[in-house]
Amino acid sequence: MSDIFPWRRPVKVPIPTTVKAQLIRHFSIGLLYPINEEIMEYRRKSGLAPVPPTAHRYPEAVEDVQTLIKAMKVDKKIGLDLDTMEYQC
Amino acid sequence: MADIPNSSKDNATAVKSRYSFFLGCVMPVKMPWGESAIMHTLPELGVDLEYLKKGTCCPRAGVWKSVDERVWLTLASYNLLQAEGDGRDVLVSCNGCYVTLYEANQLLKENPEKLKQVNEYLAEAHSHYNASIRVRHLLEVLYEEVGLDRIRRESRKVPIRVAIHPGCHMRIFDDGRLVRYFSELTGILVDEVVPYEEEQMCCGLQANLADRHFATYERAKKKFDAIKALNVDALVIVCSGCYDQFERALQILKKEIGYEFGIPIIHLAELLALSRGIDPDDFGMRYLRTAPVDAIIAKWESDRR
Repeated sequence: MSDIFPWRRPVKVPIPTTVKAQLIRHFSIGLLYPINEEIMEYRRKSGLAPVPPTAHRYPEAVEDVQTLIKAMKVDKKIGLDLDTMEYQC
Repeated sequence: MADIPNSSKDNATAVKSRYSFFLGCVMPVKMPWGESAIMHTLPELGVDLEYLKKGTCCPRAGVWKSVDERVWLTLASYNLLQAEGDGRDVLVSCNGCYVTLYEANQLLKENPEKLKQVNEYLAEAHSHYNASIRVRHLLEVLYEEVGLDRIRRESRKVPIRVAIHPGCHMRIFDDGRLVRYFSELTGILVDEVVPYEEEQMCCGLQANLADRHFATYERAKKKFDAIKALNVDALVIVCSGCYDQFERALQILKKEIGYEFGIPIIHLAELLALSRGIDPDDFGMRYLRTAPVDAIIAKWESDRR
């Protein structure tokens, strides 16, 4: 592509606010929604284990997601500090 | 035109599959009734089903395909390898998760270079994916493996009228077979599926990321208005992403304009459970609803007496 469009440069598009919040949750808890006591009670009443067998129950899955994101350097690309979960830009 | 599988009697000869159930982000925290109904009914119907453990966000292909394809493929593979390690295929109920995982899996099966790249990243987390498994939608398993004949034979129609919301991602295949499965499966579980003009309209989930007002008023509310006019007992879905959007839209509409939908949004598996005589309180049908399900339960109880 650079042969055809030698002056083309990557454009950094700002991440929409709604997506920014989702990414923080995704990389903090591995999933888009947290679990709390109220939900755990509803799960019990539904005949389910209070904590689902997702990353909610397996914190090592969250560590793995963060490891993978760092390996791909996506945190740098989107300007998110995974240690503080704050955007740098 | 590709062969469209029929739900037939020869399902008994098919090799029995073993599945890991991928929950996704929404179902375990907002739809415990759907999760519980699936876990109650599928094993009864002969499906070897366990939870997929350590599941993370699928992730959202709609976001990551355009931002960075590596993230989509690597994080999807991380979920898929949990099932592969247990020697199981993946079963998904959410249309959005299904598209993400199914398409990633297909791409990695067809493209060894991309699979190699994904495994280089996965090695950082001491993981590896061989792309040796299948990703199957709940509807495919019910229709193609269990079969309409068995479901019909072992169930009793729930005496209610419903509308269905298939969702955009259910149209992943050109032949539209998932929509047909959904429609036929619902049809054998209730008295009547009432069609409406906006049935194929999007719930608004993707638009919600860019324009919440448009997603709420021009998509979700238009659907709700059309469904209210049908005077049905329930709106039936299978997609957790669509449910998430509907629930959010209803909260916004109530707060901003005092709008009440009043029609409960239920999962296909709940109908399956009721039709098999499973007590609604066994799968938590009454809790965490956008609208009460008491009228549905009353009709079901009355029919069961």
